[in-house]
Amino acid sequence: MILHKILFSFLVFFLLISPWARSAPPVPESSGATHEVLPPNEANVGESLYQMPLKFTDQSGQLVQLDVFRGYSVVVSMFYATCPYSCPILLDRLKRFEKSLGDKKEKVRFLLITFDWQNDTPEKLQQVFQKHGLDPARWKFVRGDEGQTREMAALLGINYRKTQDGGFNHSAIVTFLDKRGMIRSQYEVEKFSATEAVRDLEK
Amino acid sequence: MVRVVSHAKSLLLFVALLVSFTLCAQESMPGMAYISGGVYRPFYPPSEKEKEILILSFYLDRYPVTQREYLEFVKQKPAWRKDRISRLLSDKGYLKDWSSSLEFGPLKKPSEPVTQVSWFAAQEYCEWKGKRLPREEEWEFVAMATEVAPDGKADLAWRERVFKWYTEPNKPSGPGEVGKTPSNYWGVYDLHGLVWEWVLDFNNNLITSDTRGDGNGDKNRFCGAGSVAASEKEDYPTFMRIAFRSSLKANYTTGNLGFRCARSSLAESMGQGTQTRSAESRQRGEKK
Repeated sequence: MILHKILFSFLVFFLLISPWARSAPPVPESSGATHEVLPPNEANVGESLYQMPLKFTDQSGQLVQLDVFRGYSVVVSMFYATCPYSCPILLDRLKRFEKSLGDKKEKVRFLLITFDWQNDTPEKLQQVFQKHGLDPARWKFVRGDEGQTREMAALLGINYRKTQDGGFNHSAIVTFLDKRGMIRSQYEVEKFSATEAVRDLEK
Repeated sequence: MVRVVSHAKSLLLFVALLVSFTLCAQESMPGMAYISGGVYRPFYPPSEKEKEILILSFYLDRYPVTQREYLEFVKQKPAWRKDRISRLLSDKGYLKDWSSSLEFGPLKKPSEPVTQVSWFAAQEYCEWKGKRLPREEEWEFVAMATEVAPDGKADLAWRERVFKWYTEPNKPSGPGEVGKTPSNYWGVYDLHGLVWEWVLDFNNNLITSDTRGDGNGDKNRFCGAGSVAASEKEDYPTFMRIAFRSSLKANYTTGNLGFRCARSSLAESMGQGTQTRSAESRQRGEKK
């Protein structure tokens, strides 16, 4: 426990002394990389989600790629606009987490992909977005098509199915991506703690 | 509400019938069986309302994808060679039984089903062919047919035979060649008895709307309460398939897990939830 606290204060210390220039996104190492042109595994940095050619539309109707927040720590999860229970909780937790970041929140971005690609139009996403008072510079709600949605869920290890009444059964998992898009850690929303997440952020 | 639902149902049925008739007149897809659709009663209905699921007409590959076919894919799409594929898209087991990146080797027969492939790989293969993976309910619907009837639930001898395969250990010599046993009612081979197969929505295994609505999640499906709720208590093979699928992640590979492709028929291309992807990936799929 004490060790944790020491480690944590070290982390906070390093975060504070780290040059703020880092908050500017670095030049992407390989822009437009798809898994089609990747070198053999040995030379491959490995598991960046950004190698997937996934495209979405965000809450303001803009086309964005999965790597829209390349260069930042990104919190990724899935939800849908009319979701009655777990999605509001998810959003609340993420907002609390953002708040707990203080100044460091400039380094963090939030990307939420909807399960309901048929119904969650940019307008609907925008409504929820504004209801929660999110900052469009740091948050994005996006939707893809059926294939992209399924692939995104598969990449994040999220299970889901559409129900007859138009809702979705889904697992609620929060994924942290590092600056290159590699999965750094994952939490079930229920067990998601802001403190631990902060600790994860700048490893 | 009920009336609306039943109206919607009969409308859906009407569309399905209409489409079926239209398609009867169409030419068949090479290597694929036409499945005219029908009602699928899930072994474990995901909800009260889903005890009967209407399956629209579609096409399904007659055989699982073979070693030879998959080799062709890998040759055309080098990113899917085992020395190039990203770990994101497949675990280390990817084609590990092949003798090299572009050979399956002398231990495999060309017409054996390909295994050691991930969901991403299976999905990409099907897109390359202009197809998609079958949905779980589509696969299960076709798999409940015997040689002579679309629904084998009442055919105890057939069920016994299917059950036997699921209790046998994997043969060290590999699964064997496709098409060595009779096809089923739809003209589809080897749904049972050769390999397990990927489905499009392998990751659909959850219970109630929104995970918070039901703290038990998967447990309901697998522990005591779940199995009592199952509609066909003796249908262990279906139960095993559900359990197996729910244990998978999209980049997993195993030595007895292969796949076959499906294709939507007219009803779906008219907008009933088609499987489409980004422009690039579709282009890649057409680069045949």
